[in-house]
Amino acid sequence: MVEVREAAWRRRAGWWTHNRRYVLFMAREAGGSLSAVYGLILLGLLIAFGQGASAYGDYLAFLQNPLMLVVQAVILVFVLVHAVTWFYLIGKSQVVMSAYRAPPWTRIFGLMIVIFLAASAGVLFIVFGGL
Amino acid sequence: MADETGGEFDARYNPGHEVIRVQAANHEGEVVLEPLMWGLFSLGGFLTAFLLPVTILAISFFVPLGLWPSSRIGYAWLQGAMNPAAANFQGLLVRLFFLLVIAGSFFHGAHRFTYMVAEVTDHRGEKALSFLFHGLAVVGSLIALYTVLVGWLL
Repeated sequence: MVEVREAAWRRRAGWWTHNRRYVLFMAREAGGSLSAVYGLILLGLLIAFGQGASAYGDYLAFLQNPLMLVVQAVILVFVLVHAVTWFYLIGKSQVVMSAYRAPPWTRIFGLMIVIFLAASAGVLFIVFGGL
Repeated sequence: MADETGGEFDARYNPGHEVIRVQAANHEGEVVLEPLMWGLFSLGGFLTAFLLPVTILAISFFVPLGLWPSSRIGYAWLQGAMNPAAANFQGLLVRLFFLLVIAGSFFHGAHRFTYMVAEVTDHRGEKALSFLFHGLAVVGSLIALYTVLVGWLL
């Protein structure tokens, strides 16, 4: 009788470091998580705004100190990885969604980038009063 | 007995479907909160992917990089931008923008972080983590809601 060996369901620590795709997957997860950290920064901005001009100014100065700028740069990079890899996934997953009529992923990806740029321009003009 | 589960689908063409419908008919193992949280996670991912990068650039980098004068993100700017009496509902749009981006990022981040930790730790303590981070997302979103209502409805 053939001995049945149970599949090992436990993955080794650091399993995701051995494959470039898994590293990118984790980077996207990290980007999603770090977006919440920037959400906290934005919430802090609104709370400081509610406390008056002086508190708001102090908060902006805090955001602009070199260490905080590095933190925010890291967040920006990961948030961009999250967005761009998600746009890429939307293109790729069309094969699963509609196996026979999936358009090339590059077309969907390009369209997502166009929508992303349009949304960014919309935020710049509506929230920040233009370029 | 097949009628008990509806009998709308033919199991011969949809293997496994009947089992799911039996559980649903008994209301056993129904999950309500998880799909709701997944929906908020998904919506949050959409919002953060499209709206957050430009927001980070504008609030955190354009002034230090010298592209904008500091007044562009100064107190007077936010006061004007959030003015509920501004033309074309601009003030209300800006308040809605802040609420959606902040709450969206919280629910998205709560889900992502829970599962990122779960992936690394082989799902140990996943439920407790999920409860903790989604709870924080709810609290944070309520605070965000309060901050955008102050000066308008509060």
